Amino acid sequence: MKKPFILIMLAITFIIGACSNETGGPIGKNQLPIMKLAGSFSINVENINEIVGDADYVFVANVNSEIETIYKNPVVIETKYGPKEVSDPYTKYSITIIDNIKGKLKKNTELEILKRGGITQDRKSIVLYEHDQLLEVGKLYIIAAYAQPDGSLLISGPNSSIVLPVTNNNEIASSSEYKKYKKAFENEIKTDRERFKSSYED
Amino acid sequence: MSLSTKISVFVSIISILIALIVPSSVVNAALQGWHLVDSGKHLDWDSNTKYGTSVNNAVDLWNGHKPGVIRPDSIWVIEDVFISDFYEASTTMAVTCSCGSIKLNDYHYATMTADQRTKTTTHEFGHALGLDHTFGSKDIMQQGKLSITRLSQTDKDSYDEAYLTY
Repeated sequence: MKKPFILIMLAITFIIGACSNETGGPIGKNQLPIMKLAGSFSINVENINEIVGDADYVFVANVNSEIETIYKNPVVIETKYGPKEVSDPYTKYSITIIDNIKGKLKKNTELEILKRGGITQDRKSIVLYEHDQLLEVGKLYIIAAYAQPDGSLLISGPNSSIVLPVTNNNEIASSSEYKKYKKAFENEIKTDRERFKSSYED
Repeated sequence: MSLSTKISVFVSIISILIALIVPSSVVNAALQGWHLVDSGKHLDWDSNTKYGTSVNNAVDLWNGHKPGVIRPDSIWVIEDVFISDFYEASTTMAVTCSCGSIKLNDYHYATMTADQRTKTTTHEFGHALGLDHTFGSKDIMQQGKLSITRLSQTDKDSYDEAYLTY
């Protein structure tokens, strides 16, 4: 009588063990440790009027999907295990712009945008600015974006994207966040800097 | 009142005054919760940046307050931070990563004055030393494209506080 019981227990233990992450299986991005970025910024990134004034485009967009992570600016650093190449992760998203607050980008078309930050090449951690987060698929955001010399769009730095706490597009215009950014555009503090044009301009 | 009583009252008053003054000078110190200083209390740096003058100025400023902490990398030690350049059109003038790097943004640095570069690179070394942003008009650790070429008392207080955590 005891033998079958032990065999059943062993089988259950094996199944539970095989399904567990403890054995080194893949873990979700949200569980990875964060490597922090602390920066010097040309504007006060806590002032919404400066954020809107310095950005090239400010818009409401839906995040359709996360496409890939791109690695830029590689450097070789010394570690106690020897030299190691470290690059800056940029996460590429597919988004659809629903409303332009500043600038005129194509609406209702899928377009690509890069965000500074993301999973490291060794997939062991996430690199992010302090007080920043990666975009979540299916959510609506207000994004302050910068056109790059090649016409691509970049989100970078604290407060460059905020999630809109609405469940459908009809609620966007009445949300306090949207109203705040519309008002900030009226009171934007413009900066004198070299600007580029997005290839997604309407 | 005996002489010994007078002395003890005097010492008590002085102690209270010191207790009141010392915390007030530390109150503005700001730490970010992480740093790149190694267990030997050194920040050994190497770089391939073209803005080497600003790096040297930054090292001189911090070492002027607390000598010997920041050192150039050598074959005898493992470097703690590597300084290099990158390019992106954004608000970021320079950025320090807890992974062990400082990156200077050519988009901004190319058009900044020498003093603005010194302030910004010194600010990034401040992050590598564990300092957080502060808000005094003379602080190296405040935000903005500014020309500041000396440490404020708050910067020094923050560094002193950070040193205790190494």
